[in-house]
Amino acid sequence: MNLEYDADQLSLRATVRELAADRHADAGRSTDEFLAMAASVGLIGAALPEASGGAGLSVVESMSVHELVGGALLREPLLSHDISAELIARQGDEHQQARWLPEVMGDVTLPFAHQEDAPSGDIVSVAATATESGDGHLIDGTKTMVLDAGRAAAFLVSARDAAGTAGVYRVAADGDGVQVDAYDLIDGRSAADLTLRGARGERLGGQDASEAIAYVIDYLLLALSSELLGVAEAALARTTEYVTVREQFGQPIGQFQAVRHKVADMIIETEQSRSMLLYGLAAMGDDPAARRTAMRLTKGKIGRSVRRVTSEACQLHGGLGMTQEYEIGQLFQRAVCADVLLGPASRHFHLHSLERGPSTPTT
Amino acid sequence: MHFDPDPATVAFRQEVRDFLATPEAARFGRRNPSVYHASREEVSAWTRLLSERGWSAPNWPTEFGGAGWSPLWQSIFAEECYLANMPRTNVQGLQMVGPVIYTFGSDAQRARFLPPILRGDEMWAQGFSEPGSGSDLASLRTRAVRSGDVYVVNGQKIWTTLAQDADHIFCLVRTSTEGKAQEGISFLLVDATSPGLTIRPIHSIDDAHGLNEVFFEDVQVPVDHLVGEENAGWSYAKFLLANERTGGAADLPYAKKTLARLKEIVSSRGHALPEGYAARVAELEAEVRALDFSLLRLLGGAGERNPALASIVKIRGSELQQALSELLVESLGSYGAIRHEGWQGDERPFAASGWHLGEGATTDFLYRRAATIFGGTNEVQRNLIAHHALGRSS
Repeated sequence: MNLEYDADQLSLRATVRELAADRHADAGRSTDEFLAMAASVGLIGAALPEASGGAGLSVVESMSVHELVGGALLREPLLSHDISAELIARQGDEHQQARWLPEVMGDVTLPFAHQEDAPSGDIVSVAATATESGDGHLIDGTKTMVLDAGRAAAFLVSARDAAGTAGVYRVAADGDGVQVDAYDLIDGRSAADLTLRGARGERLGGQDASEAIAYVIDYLLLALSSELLGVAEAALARTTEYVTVREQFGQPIGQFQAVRHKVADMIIETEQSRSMLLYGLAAMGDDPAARRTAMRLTKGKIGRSVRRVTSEACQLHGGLGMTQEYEIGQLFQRAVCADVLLGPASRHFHLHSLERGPSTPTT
Repeated sequence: MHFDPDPATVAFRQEVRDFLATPEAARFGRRNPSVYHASREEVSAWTRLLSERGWSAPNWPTEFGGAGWSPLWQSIFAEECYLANMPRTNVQGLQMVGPVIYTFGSDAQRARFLPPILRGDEMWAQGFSEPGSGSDLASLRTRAVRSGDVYVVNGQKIWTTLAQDADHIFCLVRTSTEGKAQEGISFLLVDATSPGLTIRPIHSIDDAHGLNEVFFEDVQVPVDHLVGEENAGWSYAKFLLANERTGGAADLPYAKKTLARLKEIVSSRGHALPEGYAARVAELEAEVRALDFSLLRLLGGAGERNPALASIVKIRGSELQQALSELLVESLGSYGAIRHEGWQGDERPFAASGWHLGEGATTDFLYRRAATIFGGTNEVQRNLIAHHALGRSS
């Protein structure tokens, strides 16, 4: 076992950081342009095989992307695209993969619309229905917190057919029967509630999509956890710097023991979060039940920790922590969003406590 | 010791409620209570209505036009107004600078400034903090140089709440660099429309514009707007900050109201909430009850003998605000991520789904991140407590 990034992984991480810095420096560049560039250096579908157009790497690399995107406060829809790529690769048939993977590994946004009840954080139940009609299906149901819905060309919607089998259906965003109620999130990203009434959808692949959906949800839980870690690292770095230069009462505030202990606690939580992410990365290779358990614990633990780290970072910055213009408050906002997406920490701990059966250790 | 409420106090609370229920008063109750800063017009009109009853300055002696109420009655009045969703009056004028002016100001200053404060005709902002002087306020550098019959002021203030609505800003300025920092500070009353004075809004993380930067470029302030003695301003500032001993920063009314919302959520949607949520609400309920009695002790004058009490109320009160608001956001699940405008409009699907109990929760939570920072950071407050108990640290 080796828990350190290798040279290639470090190089990839450096690439992501550079891309993020460039993006911030050139705010005039469009999202489409950014996505095309990100795709060209393999930042979308990094874990997918080269045959699918991916980089042929692993979740270690793809999660590094999400981690550093979070820490850099990028609001581009890289997460949506990566999720959709995974879903299409796992559930789409050959022709669909050939047509759609190049789209999402580019500037065409196809958000995965799965969650139906945002307040409950339920990521398992699917009540949306798919009724056969002609050579396709008609989809009925509501979906919540669909990220980046505003720029979607189409949605990949989870729904059950007449036999109760789970499927994923591509529904054109501007099709009949599609109602998109968009809203901004506090971290500057956007999402929407989707109401589908007899909306035409093309089914991805032919077989039961349960496994693919379960994997993608776990992947998303891990990706959000990765974002949270990136946010914590950034908040910690900025805070460490700030308390070293900010002087009050004739000395840097980092000299005061109370401040030192707070920073120490932030370091503890951030390092523990990194360790937890390693646990999560390791578990992505487990069987679905063990994998789901691991992701709940990972998202729960990292969500809790990073909420604390970013809150304390604001506290140590005083009034600057309340200023929208400054990154530290933005990191706090990002942490809240990444924590509550797919359900806040308490939800995951609660659901975990309800589960029966063994959880597979990873060592 | 006894616990029966004093009949006069019970009657007073009822009198306040009766007044708040009258049509003239009730129309000021805001539909959306999560908007913290009402418009200037609302605040002004509400203050004028109160002043007609002599109620706009609960903490001033009657000789200066105040209600002359005890700290307990002041607290009760504030609580009832909060529960009725009334706009906050201009704290900076009524609670902060007003008492400084009637205590240390000249007769001319009292005559000029107190009546408009009482009536809500003029609004004030507090020019204390600077970019380089937050917790270490005494290190402030905004300079005031005497030149004939004016002070010429240069410098910058920051975190100036509602400066954009203010007619005047009371400022701590440096009038001497000799001796200790505290010994060279003066208290000036500055006209906010002065040439050379620029106000720049600060957009805060709760998406509001309450905070500002104020820049002073050769701003001329008449010498007769100096309060009291030159270089004695620090003592007036300490007096002003000490007036915050009625525990307002703890915002107990908010805690009680939010607790009630949380309990309603538990009883109406408890089955859909994570296990442990109700128990956490119960824990916070206990904290609210404890804080309530700490506040009662403070309002009863216990702070004189027990100087730590004011800091305790501020620390616990602010932490409780954060814990309660966080729990409220949690009840929204993923919807907790939505920016407040997402809740506007009745056509929103989630607005129709019964999640109205969480309305404004996220904005509120972001706002309350400041509670442990303003009014003396909780770190400083803890130092004060330790100082009383353990003496000065080395």
